[in-house]
Amino acid sequence: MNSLKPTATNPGAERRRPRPSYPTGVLLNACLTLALIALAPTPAQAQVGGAFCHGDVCPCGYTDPAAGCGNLGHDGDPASGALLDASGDADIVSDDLTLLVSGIAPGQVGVVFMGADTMDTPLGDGRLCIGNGGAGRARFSLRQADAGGSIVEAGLGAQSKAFLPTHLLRPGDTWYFQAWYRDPGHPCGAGHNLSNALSVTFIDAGAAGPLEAELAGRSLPVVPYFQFVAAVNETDTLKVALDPARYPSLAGVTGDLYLVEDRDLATWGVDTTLIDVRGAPQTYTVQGGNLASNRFAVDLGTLSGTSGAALGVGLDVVFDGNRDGQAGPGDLIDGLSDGPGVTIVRDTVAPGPHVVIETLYSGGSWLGQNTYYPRDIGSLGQVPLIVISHGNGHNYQWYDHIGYHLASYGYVVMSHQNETGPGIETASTTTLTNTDWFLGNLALIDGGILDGHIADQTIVWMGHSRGGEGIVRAYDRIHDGLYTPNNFTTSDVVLLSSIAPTVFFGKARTNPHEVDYHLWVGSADADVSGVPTSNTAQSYQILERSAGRRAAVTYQGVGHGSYHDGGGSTVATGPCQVGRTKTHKLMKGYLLPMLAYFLDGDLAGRDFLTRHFEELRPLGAPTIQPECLVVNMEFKEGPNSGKLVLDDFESESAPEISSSGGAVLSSVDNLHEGQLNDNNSTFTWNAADPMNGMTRGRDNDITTGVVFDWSAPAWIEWEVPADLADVTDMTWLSLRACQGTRHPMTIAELGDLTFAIELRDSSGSASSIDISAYGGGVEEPYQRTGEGSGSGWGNEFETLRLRLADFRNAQPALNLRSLAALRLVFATGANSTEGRLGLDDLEFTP
Amino acid sequence: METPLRKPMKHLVAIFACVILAAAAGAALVRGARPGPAPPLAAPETPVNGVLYARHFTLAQPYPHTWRAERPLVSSGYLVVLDIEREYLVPRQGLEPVLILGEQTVERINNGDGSGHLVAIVPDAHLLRDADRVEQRDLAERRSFFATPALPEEVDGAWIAAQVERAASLAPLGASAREALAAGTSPVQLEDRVALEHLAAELIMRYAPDESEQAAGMLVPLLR
Repeated sequence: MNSLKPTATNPGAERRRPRPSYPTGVLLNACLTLALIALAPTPAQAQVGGAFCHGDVCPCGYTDPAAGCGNLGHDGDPASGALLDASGDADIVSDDLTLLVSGIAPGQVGVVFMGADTMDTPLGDGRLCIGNGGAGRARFSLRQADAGGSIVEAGLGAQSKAFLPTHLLRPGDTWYFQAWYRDPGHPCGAGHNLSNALSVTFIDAGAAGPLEAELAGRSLPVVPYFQFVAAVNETDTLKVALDPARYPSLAGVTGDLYLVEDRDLATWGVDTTLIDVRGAPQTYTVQGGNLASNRFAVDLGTLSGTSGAALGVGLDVVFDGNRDGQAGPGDLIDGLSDGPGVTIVRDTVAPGPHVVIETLYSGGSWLGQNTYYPRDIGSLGQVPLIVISHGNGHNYQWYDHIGYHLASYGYVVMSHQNETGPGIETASTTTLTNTDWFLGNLALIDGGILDGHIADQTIVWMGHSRGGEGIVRAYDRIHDGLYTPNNFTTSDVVLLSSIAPTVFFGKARTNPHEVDYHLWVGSADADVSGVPTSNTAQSYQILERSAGRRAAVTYQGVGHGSYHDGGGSTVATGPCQVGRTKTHKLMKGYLLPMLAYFLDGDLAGRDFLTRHFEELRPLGAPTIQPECLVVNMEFKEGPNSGKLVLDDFESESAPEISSSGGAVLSSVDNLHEGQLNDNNSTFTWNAADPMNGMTRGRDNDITTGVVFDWSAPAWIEWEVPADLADVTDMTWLSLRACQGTRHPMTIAELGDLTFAIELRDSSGSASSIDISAYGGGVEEPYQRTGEGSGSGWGNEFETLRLRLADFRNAQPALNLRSLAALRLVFATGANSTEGRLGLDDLEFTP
Repeated sequence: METPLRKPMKHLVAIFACVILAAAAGAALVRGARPGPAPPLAAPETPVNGVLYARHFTLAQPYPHTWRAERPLVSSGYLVVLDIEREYLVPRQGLEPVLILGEQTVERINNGDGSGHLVAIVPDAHLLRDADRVEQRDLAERRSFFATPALPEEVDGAWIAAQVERAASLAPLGASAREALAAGTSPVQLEDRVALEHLAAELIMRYAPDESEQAAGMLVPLLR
């Protein structure tokens, strides 16, 4: 979430260094927070980066009116100078203003310095414009320009603590900054030069109104000591962490912690009264140090998440620092912007509040439909439509568990006859014709009770096995203009959710394109089994083709027949089988969060799709004794999210270069980059098949990743290119990982695989977090036999998402404006001493 | 407009069908597993033991035969019940052997893996005579067999012809087909495919009562 702070601007910087293009959501959020500032009683004015002292009058010519005086610099053009630019804001409390000097010759040294007043006198080949203000100038560290000719200076407030007290950066003070640097070889001959200058007036943004901050979550036993979350199950303990290292003004403050009903930004702007849902706030005195010293429980699982048909009850969490019962300047709010700070989530396995009506009818041949809807649909306005397309040999009446469950939460569910016997094209046709018929004949169904109550621009297609591929093919046909429905378009279909789908067709015919895509896979599936010999049986291939947001849930021990309620065999092979009843509970547990996120953008729903099952499982989800249930979650943001992709392994085939162009260095063994496609007919480990166990693509698919192993301390590191180095607008570091099935290292470890992730900035500050800190690691492959010798089925990716703020909390000196490297570190501390890992999709995401 | 079935009614239909038809089904009431492990593949061979029921039909309104690539319009054919080794009928999601009768791909209506009784539609192959030079034969003279696994929607006349040629050594349906046709079911003229499906549903109830839920699902009220 964004802080309530103004954003830096510096018009003078446009020529040299185009400003980043922010996603619409970020801009909107910024607008809203600025709007809230306007509502605050005494808004403070921030001023950042007033540029002056350009090189328009220079000691020996070579003027550059857009930067400092001309230098030989980075481009060898003696008429272009070095530019001092600022990014971030002038809030000295958050201390995230970054100064960037560009246009210096690579390898040359330079230094940023500051003073309290200005002057103008020739110095070297440039102009010195910072005066000493009577107290002298202060300079930051001497630095060497990188290969791009840049020097980055960040953490100015923290660094100023080492200066004389007169030079400590404080709110309300204006300081002037300039950079000096060496520039041998320039025709003017002085050998050194200066950039333009900037003026900055520092503020305490919190003084203008409440700050948005992450507060709610759960304690962790190790670094980063606390996990900020969007969802907490209603029986779980809710904790809050306050971080005086992040907000120094909090240290020693005694304040009141409120849990209040969720308000949107506009409401906070007009109603700042704090009313605690627990009856009264709790008082807390912030200790010194960091958040590890300031974690405390605010509810022991007594708050209810059950309210109407919602996923949960949204709360905003407020720390009222002056205890005036109002959200005001200096207070912290988790959930200040739209959306709650945290949601107390109900038992999503239990039925919802609506009484469900089920009705059976037919519109003609292949138009038999089984529809479920809330009895009080007439009072619900327009609700989303969920269409279910069954699999081959299945029956459209076998999805009561989904129909009743979702209708009890206010959705309309229609399961239809699906012509799967001839193939996928016919199945896709019946998905299309049934959806079309349903929307076009609402007046006929149950006396027209649904007429006017279907949100026909919010259609979800779910399909099972051949039907799971059929829904994708159906979408593809409309997308490609091969089929034109009468009553809906592609944009009305907002989510495809395939249950153990076949993949008969290649990407040209079965392609979700940009629509959101969700996948359910059972590792014990004995039909669409994921065997290496059959592309048709490799459900993950469709997931890999998705170009939109995508998510997958893999249940070890679940068979093909467990997803329907038609009785008979569960079509399962392997250990620790889940069975049909428990599978249905697992499905129900995730259905509501899935729809809440994909249809409504509910971030609590996203938590269930992204956090590991070990740390967040739907309340009511079953257990298997002895405990052996493994569930793997995979999630990837869409390309329009504004994410920064560090390496998707798809545009650079050499493992030494990332897809973003940075260097990849490593000390791991047997590093191999290639298509995520097992290239032989067995899961038996064979060094000639490094992608053993990967079932993600077929010929001509581009899905790629890396695999490697280790049996001693090792690491792999990605350089973060300059255009990705500023991740302050991002929230997460995201990657997906899997173990390599039947590999000797996997067999030797045979358990959760753990390692550390380290971020390092351009100044050398590094922050490391063990992935096990959040509970669990990368799960071992399902111990199913067959398809060769040994145990272990296909490789199951799971996504690891770590908040970037966690890295900064673990190491406050880490500068997220100038990341230099991402490193995975193996066999250190309590992490796995050996292992075989597959890796893909290294991203920084909003 | 007819009234759609409510949940209790849906079950009542299924239960009623089971009770009424249990006796007729006799030993066929053995409820096999629903979708299970993949059956053995066979191509060409014939686990088709015989014909339990056969009735020729004609339709006033033809429909496309989706079980072959050409999608010929069906205006006549046979509604049959075949007695087949059960393990060959276990449905699966991957490629299945294509069932052929005579020179035509068969549309399977039910699964049949529980009873060994498959209710199927066999469009008259003469519909394609001009295009494929297929010669129409009496039902008893035709062979029925499982061909190479494929998606039926992707097989065409040439593919079928090749499969038929490979199966030339198999015995035709013969006596059981003649007996089935002689059992008193006269050719029937129907309005459309919906009416044909209703007949097929009744056959499922009679010959594969373990799948009466599917039959009930084919007999739900029609909203038009």
